[in-house]
Amino acid sequence: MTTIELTGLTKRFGEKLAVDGLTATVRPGAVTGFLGPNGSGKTTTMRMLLGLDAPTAGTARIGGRTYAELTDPMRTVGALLDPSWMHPNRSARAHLRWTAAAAGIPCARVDAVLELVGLAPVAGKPVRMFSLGMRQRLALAGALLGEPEVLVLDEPANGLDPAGIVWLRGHLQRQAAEGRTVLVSSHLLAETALTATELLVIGNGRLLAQGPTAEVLGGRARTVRVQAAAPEAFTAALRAAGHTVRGLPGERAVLVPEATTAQVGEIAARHGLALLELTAQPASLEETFMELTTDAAAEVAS
Amino acid sequence: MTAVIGVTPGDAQRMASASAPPTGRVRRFVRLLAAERIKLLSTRSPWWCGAIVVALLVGLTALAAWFIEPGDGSPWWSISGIGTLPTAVVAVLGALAATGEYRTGTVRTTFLATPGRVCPLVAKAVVLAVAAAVLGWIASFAAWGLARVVAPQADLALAGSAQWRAVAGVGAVYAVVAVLAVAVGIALRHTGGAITLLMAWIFAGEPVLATLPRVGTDIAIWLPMRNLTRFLVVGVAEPDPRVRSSASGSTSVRGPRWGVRRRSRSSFWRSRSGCPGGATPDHRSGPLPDRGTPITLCDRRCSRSGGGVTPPFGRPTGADEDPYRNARVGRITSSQVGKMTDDHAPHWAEREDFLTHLE
Repeated sequence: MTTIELTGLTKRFGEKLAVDGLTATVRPGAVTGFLGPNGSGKTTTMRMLLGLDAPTAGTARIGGRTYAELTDPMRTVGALLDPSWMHPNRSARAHLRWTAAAAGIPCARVDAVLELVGLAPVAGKPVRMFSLGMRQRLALAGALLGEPEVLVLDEPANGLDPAGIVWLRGHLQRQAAEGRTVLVSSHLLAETALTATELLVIGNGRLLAQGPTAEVLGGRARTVRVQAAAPEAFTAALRAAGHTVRGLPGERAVLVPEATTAQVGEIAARHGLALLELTAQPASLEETFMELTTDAAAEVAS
Repeated sequence: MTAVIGVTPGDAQRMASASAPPTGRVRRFVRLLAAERIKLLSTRSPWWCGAIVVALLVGLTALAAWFIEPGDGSPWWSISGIGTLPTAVVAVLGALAATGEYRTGTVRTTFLATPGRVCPLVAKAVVLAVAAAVLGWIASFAAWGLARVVAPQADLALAGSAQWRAVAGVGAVYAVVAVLAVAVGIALRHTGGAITLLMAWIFAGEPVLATLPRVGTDIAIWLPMRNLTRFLVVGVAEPDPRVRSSASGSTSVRGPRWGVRRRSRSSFWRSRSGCPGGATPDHRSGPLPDRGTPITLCDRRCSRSGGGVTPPFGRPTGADEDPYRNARVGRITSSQVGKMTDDHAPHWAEREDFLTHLE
């Protein structure tokens, strides 16, 4: 069981504070989504976690030790930061072979991970012939080489085809189910929400929210989609109850933001109106996310 | 032996004692050597560089051997310096291996595998040195073998240490050049910059520094490429009745009447070189000077007379190129000068002394 602990992690590049006093814990046994807009400090945080950048202040520890203190780092932490970190003229197998040799991982693992990510048929081809998705798979193979307890993946779904994304999602969830610690960064919220059971949201280098995905996203207001037999009367009833109603072009259904199905159903019952459709529409993740980050910005401003 | 580099003396000691198991650090360093070996051999540029080095050395040596005449004094003089020509390609090989890591970002993957920053770089230098040495041996022994085939009449046997050094030493020279190139590559982290710097140094920097007025000669003895050339060149003269050894170990070769040929006066050079064969005058010296004509003092303007090719660096070819070894002396007869040099044979190491005496 290996936990990632960030304590007051700070990184300053000149004037810009890329990561600002980030304190968070990533627990084993769950896929933790690491969310934030572009330039919010996700990659910098991961680089500090992996010893590629020195923190200005604070610490990033894996199982109580910094990356440099790990005896066989690749057997403890599998990292995918940038799929371009490979020599274009080297074959996929050669890339993994030298990585395995440097990390003290038996050569047999090379073919095993190539098989696992589906690159076995092209293992002898130079990397320059690979698409972004194939490079991403190869980088992922490199991360999985040491059968690590902790996976740190920066935007692993980038460039993957749908089959690859489905496979990745399943694989990460299996890894977490086996008790491993999985930290996956992304700016694609929908994808993260499907994979991650925990979320870690940052903006401008600061922690915005942390907790189970349902809690972080579900605490937000939802939109109800409703279609009444008598739309005009029902719209009037909703407005009378203080709700806003948004019509949908070309449809008889309307949207009621910031309401629950229970509230809307009750109004319909009170007015004796028949409903043809009543569904809760989760606010789009993007909207929720914008809301989260805007809140944070407002907090900073005040 | 290589594994010892980059570990503490304590580790090295423990490793040296056969009973003790290798420590973690040594084991990790050996792992890094394996990784660097795979890296080096799994891209194409090192193979191309290696092929070019072998082709250059073998081809040029064969060419030089082709022109060796049976009467030439020392065929070794003709072919022994050629090993320095492909050092530029070896430098490219080393620089590419180092800068490629930074260019492609591979170095970060390396640092993920081994969080230490020094050990992977030392491992790279060691692997490049070994690879360059092996390449040098393959190329130089192949070149030597072909030279023997091309010039069967020439005496190209590995007769002594100088001959062995000329052939096997190529490996050592390439290893040094490869390590220098790796160091430059690591420092600059930029392929174009590193190769430009190395080529500029080899082809412009050293020649220019060595020919600077007054200070050039003092700088020249510290220039790495010149010294590596010096290391390879076999300049030991054939036994010659006109050659005699003085007590100080320097050899004086006196031409008949018109000129004075002397060994270098610095002990730095003394053990490394000499005039091969019959010290006939440089063809540019012109006809016999008359009394009172300026003559050229030359101790090592013998490259032409040896019948060999002139290596690109290190070996002087004429008065205008190497002021250290030549001094023009006006209004004096050659026999006078010859007399003086004989008188001053033990002190000839000091050029200034001799010139002062002339004045």
